[in-house]
Amino acid sequence: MGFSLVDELPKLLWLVIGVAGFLAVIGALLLLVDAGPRKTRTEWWQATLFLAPALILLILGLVYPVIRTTLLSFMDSKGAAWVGLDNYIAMFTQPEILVVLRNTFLWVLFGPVLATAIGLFYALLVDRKRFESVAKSLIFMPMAISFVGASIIWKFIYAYRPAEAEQIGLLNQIIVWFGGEPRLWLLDAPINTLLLIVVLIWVQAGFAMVVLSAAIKAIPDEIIEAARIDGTGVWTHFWNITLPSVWPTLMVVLITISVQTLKVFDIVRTMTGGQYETSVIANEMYAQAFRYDNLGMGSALAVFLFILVIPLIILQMRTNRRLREEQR
Amino acid sequence: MSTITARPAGEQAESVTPARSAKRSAARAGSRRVSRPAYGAGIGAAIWLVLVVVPLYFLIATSLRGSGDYLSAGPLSIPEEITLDAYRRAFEVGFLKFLTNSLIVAFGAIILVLAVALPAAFAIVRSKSRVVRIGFTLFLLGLAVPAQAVIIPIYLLITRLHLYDSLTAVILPTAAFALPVSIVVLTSSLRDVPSSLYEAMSLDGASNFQIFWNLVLPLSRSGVVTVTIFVGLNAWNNFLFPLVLTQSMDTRVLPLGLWEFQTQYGTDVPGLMAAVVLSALPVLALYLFGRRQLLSGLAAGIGK
Repeated sequence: MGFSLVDELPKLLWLVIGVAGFLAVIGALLLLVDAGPRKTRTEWWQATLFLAPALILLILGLVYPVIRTTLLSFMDSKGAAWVGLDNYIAMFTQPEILVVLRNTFLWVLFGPVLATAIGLFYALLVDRKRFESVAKSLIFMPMAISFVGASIIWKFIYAYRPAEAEQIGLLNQIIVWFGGEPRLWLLDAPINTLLLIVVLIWVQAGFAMVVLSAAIKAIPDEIIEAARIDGTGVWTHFWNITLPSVWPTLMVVLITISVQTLKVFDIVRTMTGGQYETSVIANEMYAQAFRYDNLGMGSALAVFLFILVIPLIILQMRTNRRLREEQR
Repeated sequence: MSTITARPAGEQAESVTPARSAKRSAARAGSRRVSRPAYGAGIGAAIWLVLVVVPLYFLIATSLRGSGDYLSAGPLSIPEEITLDAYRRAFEVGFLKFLTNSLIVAFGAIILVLAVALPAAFAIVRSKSRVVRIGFTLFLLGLAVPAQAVIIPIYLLITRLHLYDSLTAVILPTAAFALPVSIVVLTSSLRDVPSSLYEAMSLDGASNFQIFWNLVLPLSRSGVVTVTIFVGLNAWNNFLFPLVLTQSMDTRVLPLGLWEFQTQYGTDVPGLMAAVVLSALPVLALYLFGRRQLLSGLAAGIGK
């Protein structure tokens, strides 16, 4: 398994070729626009030419696949014959998949709210304190670790050894210290789903804190000063000044984490592979399509996920627009 | 014996700082006439700080242990002797190869996105034509699409193109996927350029090429940095695309490498933790040296 740079050279060469290729594309575009025949100089033609490469990538990588997924969701496992709504009916009646929907519901119920609340709470608490930057850096640290990495860490925190043996998992170690029996945490439904959600919160609270901290700092000093002169208590200050000021940002953060949570895949795949009743829509979609070769069911789950995400994105865009208008 | 004495010491080291900081925060808050509830809040914050710090301590301490030490000593004990053996093992199972592959995918996706998104954003800002407006709406719609909704057809398409199990197979969808957010970010950073500047340059007889090179590129620099980091982070941490679109050791990227490491060498926990630490180092370095840029890249996803 040695690493030799020479082996990697062909790949790097491809990268260089790729870069050159795309610089050439841009250059050609610009030349075509500037030096082409007179017809090409009309405004809309130039604009279209500039837009074309991005649009092609978008159509090939997003638009066409979305349409095809939707079509596949009405077809059988091989994508060969139409089956109407069968996949969707199966989705809402098969007990295993109902568990998947329940789990996704649990994720969305707990993950975003807790991550955002902890982030807000923390941002408020360290705001303008001497140790602010150190505390923030620490809370932010999990953000630097990928979901896969974070899941691996937590998998070992939940690890189990029989009671006689020395515990290697932190959670069981603590339980043993308090005189309890070690448990196979990741095998117990539905606690195991909650334990997986902890990993999401662990990572996303840092994100929420960083964004909300910036929003708190953006509250004008005059408002804070005025409140101080009025002598408002900490709770009145929080309810009447801080919360309304950061509300739009809070909503954007909450929605963003909700979308992330709906799509959660890496954590489940890494920690349990969806076994022991921990599967969620995104994981089940992967399993159906790429493990059980059931393209129809996989597509139906994907479409359902998409439908769940759309209203959140619309809400997010609206909140963002309001946020921008307020800033103006 | 030494592990038993070491354990409480380790525990203490973890808990002293938050407790003290909570007290200090309460004291400081007190001077701002917000004493009582802040005290309770301080305790809550201290608990979360412990929840964040203890797994990080576990990660780093374990990565510095010998493999025998890991099994015999408790998870929180201070390693008896600090060794970089685990890191050496991480490199032995191909970590450098995963790292190279991840870097190639990240840079490939960044270059591809910038190459197509910059001209597109330029067109969107400059042009009022219908085609462009429809195109922009299409990009906005793209913001809503989850990776799961495209992965099956992309898999079928990539296999059809005989690209399966290549890095290109990962780069293309990663780039396509980051495109909508990138276009939105670049468009809004170009919108901040006063349109009089464009007009002045066109009146002076500058070609589009000159406008693009001398005006658009320099002025959109902050947008370009944001997009670079956004695309880079997405490529760096992406798991689904490489999982579905690659297979062999030769094309394995970091998250997939970690995952495979975990399933194959699950007993070598220190080695695994060392690999996790190494995979997070580039992002941490970014946090230390370019915090503002990193945060703008992270926030790009939320459309601010």
